[in-house]
Amino acid sequence: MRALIVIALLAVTPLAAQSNPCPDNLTIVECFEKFAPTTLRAAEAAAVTDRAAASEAADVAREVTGVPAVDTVAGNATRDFLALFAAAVENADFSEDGDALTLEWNLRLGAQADPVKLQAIVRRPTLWEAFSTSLASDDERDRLLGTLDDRDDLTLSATYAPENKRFGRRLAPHRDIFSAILSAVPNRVPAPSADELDALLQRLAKEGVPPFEDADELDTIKFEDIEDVTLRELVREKVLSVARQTRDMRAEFDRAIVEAGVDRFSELLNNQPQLYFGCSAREREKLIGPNERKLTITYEMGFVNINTFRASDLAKGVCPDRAAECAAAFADYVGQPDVIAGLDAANRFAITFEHNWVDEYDIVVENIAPFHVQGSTVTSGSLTYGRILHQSAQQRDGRIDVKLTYDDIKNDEDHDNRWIGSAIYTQKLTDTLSLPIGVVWANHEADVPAADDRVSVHVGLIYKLVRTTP
Amino acid sequence: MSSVPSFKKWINVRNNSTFVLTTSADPPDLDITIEVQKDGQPDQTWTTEQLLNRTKRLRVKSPHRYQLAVDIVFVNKTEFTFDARIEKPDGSQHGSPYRFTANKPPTAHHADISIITRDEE
Repeated sequence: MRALIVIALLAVTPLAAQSNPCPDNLTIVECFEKFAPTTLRAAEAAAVTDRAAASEAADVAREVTGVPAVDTVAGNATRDFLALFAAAVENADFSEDGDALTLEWNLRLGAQADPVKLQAIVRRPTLWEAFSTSLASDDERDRLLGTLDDRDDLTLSATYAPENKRFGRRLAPHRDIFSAILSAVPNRVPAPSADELDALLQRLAKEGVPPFEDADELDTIKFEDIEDVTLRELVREKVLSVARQTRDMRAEFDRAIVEAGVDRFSELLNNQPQLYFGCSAREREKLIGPNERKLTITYEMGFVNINTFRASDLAKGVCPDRAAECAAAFADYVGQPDVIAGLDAANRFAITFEHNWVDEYDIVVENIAPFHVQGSTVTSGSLTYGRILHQSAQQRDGRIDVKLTYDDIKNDEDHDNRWIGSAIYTQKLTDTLSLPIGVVWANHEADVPAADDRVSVHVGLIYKLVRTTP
Repeated sequence: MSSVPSFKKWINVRNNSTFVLTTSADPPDLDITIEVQKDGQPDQTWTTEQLLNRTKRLRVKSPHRYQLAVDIVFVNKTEFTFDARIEKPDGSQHGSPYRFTANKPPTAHHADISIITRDEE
C-alpha cells in the first residue's frame, strides 16, 4: 500500500510541475520572459550619446584622435583637422589592419546635410618594389628603408553619396511613405490585466508585505520570496495572465507588421539607386612610390525599389498624403508576383567610371644610379550585375555576380589596354560560411592572376567573423 | 552577448519622481512608439519624432501606476540604444536603469515597463 502511495506521488509531482510554467524558484521577470522572450541585448558600457550636444560629439572625436599610437606629422595633421570640424563630426572609427592604420568618419556640414565620408590611411613604408629589386644589396635596401617613417605614405579620400527621394538608402527621405504604411498597424497597448497586477503589487508594498515593502524593482524577486502561499499564488496567477496577454499582443503586432509589408519596405529601400562620388590622393615619399590621384563615380541599384513603387499606378495620387490608401497600395504592390520575384532574385546592377593618375618621376639617391618611375593614366569603366540564382528555405542561397571592366591605359610601357571579366557563383553553406567559385578572363595573359592562360578558375571559402559583445 | 529582459517593473517609486528616457540611433532608420497608460487607462502616445535621439521625461505622481508598451520597428541596420531610468525628487536614481541596444530589421523589438508609485495616501 505504501509503495502504491509513493508511486502515485511520484506520478503526480511531474504532472503538477508541468501545469505550473512559473515555479517558485523563478523571478517574476523570468516568468514574463518565458512567455515573451526578449530579442534585446545589454547596452554598451559607454554612456548614451546625446546627439543634440555638439560638445559631447566633440569629446568623442577627441577620444578617437587620442587613440592612434602613431605620433606623427600625419597624426598631428589629422588632429588639427578634427579639431577644426569637431562640432560637426558625427562619428569616427579607428582600425588597424596589418600594415595600415585607418581613420574614418562621417562629416555632416549641417543637421540635414548628406554625410561626406572621410578616410585617412597611414601605411607602413616599404621601398618601391621595382626600385628595391634594382638595388645591389640588402644592406642598401635596409639603409634606405631606415630613412623612412610612418608619415611617408598617406592616403586621403572623400566619398559623397547624396541622400534624397531618388538616390540613397536612408529612411529619412521616405519616412512619409513609411509612416503611412505603419498607420495601418494599430499601436500595441499594455496588456489589459497589467494594471491589475501593478495595483496588487502596490497594495502589497503599502501593507508592508515582504519582499515588496522595501523593493525598488522586481528584477530579482522570486515567487518563493512571497512567504504567504495564498498571496504567492495570487501574484503568480496575475503574472501569468499579463505574460500570456503580452505574448499574444506582441505576436499580433508582429503579424500586422509583416502583413503591412514593412519587411518588404526594407528590401525596397535597400534597392534604391545609389550614386557615389569619390576622390582620393596618395602622397608618398619618392622611395616608396609615385603619388596617385583618383576620381570615381559609381551608380548602383536594385530593380524593384521605392522609386518603382512611387511611380506605380497603385501609389500615384495616394502616397503619401492619404495614409490608409497608401498603406493598402503598398501592401498590394509588394504582393504582386513580379515584385515578389524581383525582390527574391535580389537583382543588382552597378556601373563605375574611374580615372587614375600616377605621377612620373625619378628616384635620385647619392651613390645609386637614378631610377625612373613611369607614370600613367588609367581610365576604367566597369559593369556589374548580380542576382540570386537558387533560393532555399534555410537561407542557403546561391548567388551569381558578373563583372566586365575595360581599362584604357596611357603612358605605361608595361601594360596595354585591357578587358577583364569575372563571374563568381557564391553558395551560402551556413550563416557564416560561403563557398565562392569564380572564373576570371582577360584579353592578356599577364592580367589573369596565377594562370598561364587568359582564363583562370578559383575556388575559395569565405568565413564571416561574428562580432560579439562581452 | 548578454541579454536584457523585455520587462521592467519599478515599484515604490516616490511621488514627483521623473521617468527619464533617452534613445539614440545612427542612422535613425527606425520607428519607435510608446503607448502610455495611467492606472490602466490610455494616457499618452509618444512617437518617433518625440523620442528618437532625444530625452523624454515623465513626472510620475503618487498613487498612480504607469504602464508603457514600447515597440521599435527597424528599416535598416542601425545601432539603437534605449536608456530608461527613474530619478527621485532629490535627483538620485531609483533602483537600476533599464538599458538595451537593438539593431537590424525586419523584426520589431518590444519592451513593457511599469512604474508603480508608492501609495502614500
